[in-house]
Amino acid sequence: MRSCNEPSEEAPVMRKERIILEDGRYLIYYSFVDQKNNTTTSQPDGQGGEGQAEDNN
Amino acid sequence: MSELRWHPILEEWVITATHRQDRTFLPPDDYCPLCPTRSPDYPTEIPAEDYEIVTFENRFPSLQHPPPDPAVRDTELYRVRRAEGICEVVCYTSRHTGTLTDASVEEIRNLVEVWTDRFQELGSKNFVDYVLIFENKGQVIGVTLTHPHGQIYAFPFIPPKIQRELRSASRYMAKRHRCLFCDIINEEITDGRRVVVENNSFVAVVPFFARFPYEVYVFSREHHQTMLTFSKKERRDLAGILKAILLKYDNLWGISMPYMMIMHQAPTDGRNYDHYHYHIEFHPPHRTKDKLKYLAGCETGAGTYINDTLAEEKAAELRRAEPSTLEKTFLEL
Repeated sequence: MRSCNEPSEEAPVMRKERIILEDGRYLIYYSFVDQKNNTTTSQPDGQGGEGQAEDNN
Repeated sequence: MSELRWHPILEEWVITATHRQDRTFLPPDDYCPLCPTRSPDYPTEIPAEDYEIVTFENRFPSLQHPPPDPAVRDTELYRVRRAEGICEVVCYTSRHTGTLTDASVEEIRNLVEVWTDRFQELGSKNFVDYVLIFENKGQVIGVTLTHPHGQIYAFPFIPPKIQRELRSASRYMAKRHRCLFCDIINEEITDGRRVVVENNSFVAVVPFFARFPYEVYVFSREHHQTMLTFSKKERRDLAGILKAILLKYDNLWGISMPYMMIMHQAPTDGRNYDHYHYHIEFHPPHRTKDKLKYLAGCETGAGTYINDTLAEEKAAELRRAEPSTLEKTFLEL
């Protein structure tokens, strides 16, 4: 039987990083920072920085 | 080649997109274009070695910005427009296997945040009149990539089904001075037999008028037109109820239930749509574990659906499927 775990109470802060691919299309990485310990649950390679959500483009 | 061709009989646009015939079709797991690029020898659509959620312009779009010129000239009868718009792919996770059902409620909540951001950004473009967020799941739906993902179409017009809903809601509001959708929600809750699951912010039902056996509509209890006015709690609750519905679908027969999930929101053409009401529609094609409902002569040819089942009975089945109670805190958050 499939089931699920409880989520945390605090919503993470969303970060947004836009890049342009070789053929001109855009791609946006979204990552989410846990507000309690200020850590990113997963960080795309080559996409740095911490803090509030920010659209680079 | 891509263009909009006017259907003068139905008075609606048809998108031609001949380049889509060449799109990637069910590649082996080792060559999934939606996985992260883990080896420079095999670059995928996503250059990073890992990601949480990614959205990008579809390599094989039905709508493009800037759009190509139409391949044919229009006539007085046969109007042609450039297929201007944006088609995005939304990868829910870097994990290749599994489905949205396997995502945690936190991950679905993050996806809700991404959907909201995409709706706002795409809807703010002056050539976009409507933003459709949707997911096709399962090969019987026609999915060509199994990696968990959805899509977003930013249309240069309001699609016909949405136009019909807007007209119905507008007429109802003019006649009764109430929201059509709010009245549907109240009637479904009062009756109760077709309610599948609910939490503080959303209610999911197999509606009285269901056209597919296991069709589910998810309505916001509050009268929202789009996700943009959701509170933080409502965004969390949307993740919770989506998780519950997805689990129920998969637990119903112990299979990964195929479906079309479509988010209906107000148009983004700058007009007032206070009479409209946010909702999500699930259209699973299965009528039993082993049988599909096909859109055959009556449905495709006449536009009239024949549902071989009763919504009251199907809702009861889904209610019984786990998670079968509302006591689980993940539904309330």
